[in-house]
Amino acid sequence: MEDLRDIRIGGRVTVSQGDEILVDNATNHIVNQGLKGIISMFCGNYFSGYSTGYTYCNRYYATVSLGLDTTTVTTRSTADLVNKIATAPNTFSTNSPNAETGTRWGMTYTAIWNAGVITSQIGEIGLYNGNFTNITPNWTSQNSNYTATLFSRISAADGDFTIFTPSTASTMVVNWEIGVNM
Amino acid sequence: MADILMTGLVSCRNSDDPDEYIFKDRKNKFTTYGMQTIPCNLNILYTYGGGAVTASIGLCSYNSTWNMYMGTNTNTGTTSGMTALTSPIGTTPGTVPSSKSVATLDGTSTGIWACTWTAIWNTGVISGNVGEMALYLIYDATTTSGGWYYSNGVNGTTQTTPGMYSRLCNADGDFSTFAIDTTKPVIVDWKIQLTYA
Repeated sequence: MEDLRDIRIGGRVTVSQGDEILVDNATNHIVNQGLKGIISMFCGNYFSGYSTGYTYCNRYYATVSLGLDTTTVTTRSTADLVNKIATAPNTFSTNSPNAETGTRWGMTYTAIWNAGVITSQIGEIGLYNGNFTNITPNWTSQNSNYTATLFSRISAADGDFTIFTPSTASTMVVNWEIGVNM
Repeated sequence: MADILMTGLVSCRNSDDPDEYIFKDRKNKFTTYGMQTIPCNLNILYTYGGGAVTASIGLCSYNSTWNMYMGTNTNTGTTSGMTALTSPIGTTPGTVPSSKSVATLDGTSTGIWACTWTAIWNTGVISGNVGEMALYLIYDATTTSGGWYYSNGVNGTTQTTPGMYSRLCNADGDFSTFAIDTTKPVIVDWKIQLTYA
């Protein structure tokens, strides 16, 4: 039965190479920057682009990054991966936000690294987003881009997965679903 | 520190006394608009004027067009697919408040983040037996794969329509019906709070 009173916002992460599951549906840790971005959506008035100016935000800067750290747990104030690998995914996409069951809305971010691109041992993975940053009621902005900041993280230090080194023989796929559940 | 709990807490007064509540911090029920807006907003790419114009995307509190309404229904519980009060007081969607304001709570140190919308109906503006009430925010139902943007080449704003984001009602046991005392104002604080579950 749907519980419309307590909505849960969560993230589930799966990492795979071919048929091998390296991270199996791990629960992510959404950090303060992510929560602030959502409150900013609630209290915001509008944002705009004037003339030849843009305001780039949320999805524009979205990406998934990998990191090496194996000892630092995620806290609310964690603002970045501890030891980030600079190599961006070879492809990155999102599906259409969708109602999966009628009481669950979600969107999946998919990052793919080609075979052999990542050879390091992975201890942390982060979802980045162009999070809004202003929680002043009725805020507006114009021609003012946001930047990619950490939205949520999984890590070996948190017990979310066991450290792994990707095989160089096949592509590595990260599927990160952010869901809103009744 | 795993999932985030989103809760709507509603407090209502019908008094000049700031400490005299009809009820306080009752949990609302969210509708589909309340669920889908978050992922749809996360899916926004950018705005771009495309000329000597301004192209804007409205957010939940756009241009003070968010609203609260009250209704008289006492036997219809809230479902996720609901989009309006069952029996609004006044012309549909309801009698608008006399004044409105928004406040936020910064959870950097506490982990409790919140946005509170406050509506005030001045003395005598609204009357009746209240059995339901609703918060209307600008909602986002754009489900474009890979993100969406607004760049129309003319002045304009998209995402400006308020929809029923959440509802509180007697039928769900959220509060006891009450008759509005028309000699005093009605004040509702509607807080949506994010905390670590």
